Amino acid sequence: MLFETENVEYTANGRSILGKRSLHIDAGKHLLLLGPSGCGKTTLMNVMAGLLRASHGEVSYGDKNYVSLSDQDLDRLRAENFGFVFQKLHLIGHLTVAQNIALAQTTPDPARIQTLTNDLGLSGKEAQKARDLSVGEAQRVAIARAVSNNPKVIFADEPTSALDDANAAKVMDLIFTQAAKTGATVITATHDARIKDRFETILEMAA
Amino acid sequence: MNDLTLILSSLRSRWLNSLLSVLLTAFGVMLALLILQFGHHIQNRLSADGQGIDIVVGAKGSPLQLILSSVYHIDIPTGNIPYDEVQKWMKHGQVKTAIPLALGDNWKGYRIVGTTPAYMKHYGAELAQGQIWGKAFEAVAGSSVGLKIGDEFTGAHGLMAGGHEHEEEHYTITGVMKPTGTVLDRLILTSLDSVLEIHGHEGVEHAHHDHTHEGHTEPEITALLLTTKSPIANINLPRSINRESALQAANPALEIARLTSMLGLGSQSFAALSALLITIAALSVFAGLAGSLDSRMGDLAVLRAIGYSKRRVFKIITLEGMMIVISGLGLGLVMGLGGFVLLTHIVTPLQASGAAISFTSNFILVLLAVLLAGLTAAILPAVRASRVDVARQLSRSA
Repeated sequence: MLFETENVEYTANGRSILGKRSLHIDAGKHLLLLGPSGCGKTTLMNVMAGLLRASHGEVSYGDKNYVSLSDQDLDRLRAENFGFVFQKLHLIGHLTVAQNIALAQTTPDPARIQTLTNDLGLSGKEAQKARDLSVGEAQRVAIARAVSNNPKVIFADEPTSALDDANAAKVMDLIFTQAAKTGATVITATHDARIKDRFETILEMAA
Repeated sequence: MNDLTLILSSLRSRWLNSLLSVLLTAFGVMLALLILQFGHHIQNRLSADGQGIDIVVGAKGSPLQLILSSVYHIDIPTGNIPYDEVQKWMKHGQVKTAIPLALGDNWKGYRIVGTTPAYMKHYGAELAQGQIWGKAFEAVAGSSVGLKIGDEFTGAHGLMAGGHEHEEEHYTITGVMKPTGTVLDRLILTSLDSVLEIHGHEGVEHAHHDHTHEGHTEPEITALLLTTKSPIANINLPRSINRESALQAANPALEIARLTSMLGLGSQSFAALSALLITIAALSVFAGLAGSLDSRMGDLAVLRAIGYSKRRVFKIITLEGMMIVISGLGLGLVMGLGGFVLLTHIVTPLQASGAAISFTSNFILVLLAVLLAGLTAAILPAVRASRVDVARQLSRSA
C-alpha cells in the first residue's frame, strides 16, 4: 500500500473541507481526484503530499505516519519521494531550464537532466531562462522538474485545466510516459473530466 | 543545484535593487570610517600638539583663542605681552620649563615663530639636516614646509598667506627638522630676536641694556608655554597669573575638553553618528530583502514544496542579505580608506598635519557592527521567508 488516509479532515477558518475522508492507494494505481472548484481536491492532495497538516485523522505514506513525522522529516519525505506539477507551473524565472530541473534533485545528476531535456523536446534550451519560455515549454520544464529526482509519486494539480484537447492529451502523455519510466504513481487533482480515462482510481468529490 | 548558485542568480535577477543596497551599505560604511579616521586624527593631533604643555600665558582675551593660536597655531593670537612681565613667571618657583613664542608673520601660510631651542626640545624634534639658528634671521623649517637649507625668503605680515612682505629682512634656512607628527612640522622656527626686531621691538638681549635703540620699543612676545613641577601648580599658577598681572593664563587640557564638548567632537558623538550610519546601511539591506520578498514568496513556496527545509530557506535568504552586506562592507572599506588617503593628498591641512590611516579597536568595532546589523536586517525577512504558507502561495501566485 502506497497511501492510506483515515478520517482525514482539514479545517480552515472554522470550515471543514474534507469531510473525514478515508482512502487507500496501491503503488502504480494512478489516482484522480475529480471535482469542481472548492470541493477540496487540492487540499486533500496537499495533505497527502505533506504540504498541509491534517487537522484530524491520519495520513500514511508506506510505513510512515505523518503524525509522527517532524516538519523536517516531511520535507525529506517530499524531497526523496514526491514530484510536483503545479497548476501555475511555478518555474523560477531567473533560473535556467537546467537549473529549474536541478532544483528538485537531492543529488546533482546532470546526465538525468540531459536525458529529460532530450525526452521532453527541450534540447538546446537548457541555458535559457525560464521566464523566456513559451507556455508549452514551461509546462514541459515543470514536468521535467517533477520527475528529475525519480520520484515514487507525482502530484499534479490541474495540469490540463487551461489547455485544449490536443495539448491536454500531450501533457498527460508526457506525465504518464515519465511516470512509467520511473514506476511512479500519478495523483492528479482536477475538474477536467477529459483525462479521467487514464486513471485506475477515481475519487469524485462534490463541492 | 547548490544554494550559492540560487542566491547569486536571485541577486542578479534583482540587480538594481541589489546594487542600491550594496551602495547604500558602502556609503554608510565609508562615512562611518571617514568619521572615525578624522576623529582619530583630530584627537591625535590635539593630544600630540598639546603634549606636556600645562599652562599658556598670553594677552587677556578668550582663553580658547589663546590656546588655539599658541599651541595649535590655528587661530589669531589675543595680543602681545611685555617680555619684562613674562620673565617673572618664567622664573617662578613652580615652573619647570618656559618657552616664549613670538608670532606675527608667515611664509606662504606657514607661521614663522620666534622662540628658543627649548620649543624643539619640548616636542622631541630633531634636525634632519643642517643646524639650528645661530643669529638673527636664520631659521629652521618644519618637515612639511617645503624649504631646504640655504633657501632665502621674506616673511609676510599676518598669520595667513597674503599679507604684505617684510622686504627689508630675508630669512635663511639653516636646518630642516625631521617629521614629528606635531605642529612643529608646519612651522618655521627662528630666534625671538628675529621676530621682535622685524616688528620694531628691542631684541630680548637688548632689553637688558639700560637703553633702547632708536625707534625700537620694549620687547613683547605673543605667548609663553609653561610646564610645571606639580599638578597642583597647574591649578594655582593660572590663578596667580590671572589675579596678579595683566596677563592671562589658560589650561590647554581644560580648553580643549571644552572645545571638543562644544563641537560635539567627543567620542560619544562619533559613536552615535557611526551607529546612525550603520543603522541606515542595515535598513537598506532590510528594505532590499523585505521589499522583494512578497514577489518571491511563490518561488520560496516551490522550494519548500519540493523538499527544501525551513532552515535551508532561512539560510538562503540570510546569505543573500549577508552577501549584500559583505559586498557593501568591502566596497565601503575601499571607498572610506581610499577616500581618506585621497583627502590627505588634496586637502592641505590634512597633508600638512600628517594625517594617516589608523587601524584602531573602533575600526574593528565598526566592521563588526556593520556585520551584526546586516545579519539582523537579513534575519527578519529570512524568518518570514522560512514560514511561507506553501499551499496558499502555490494556489494563488503565478
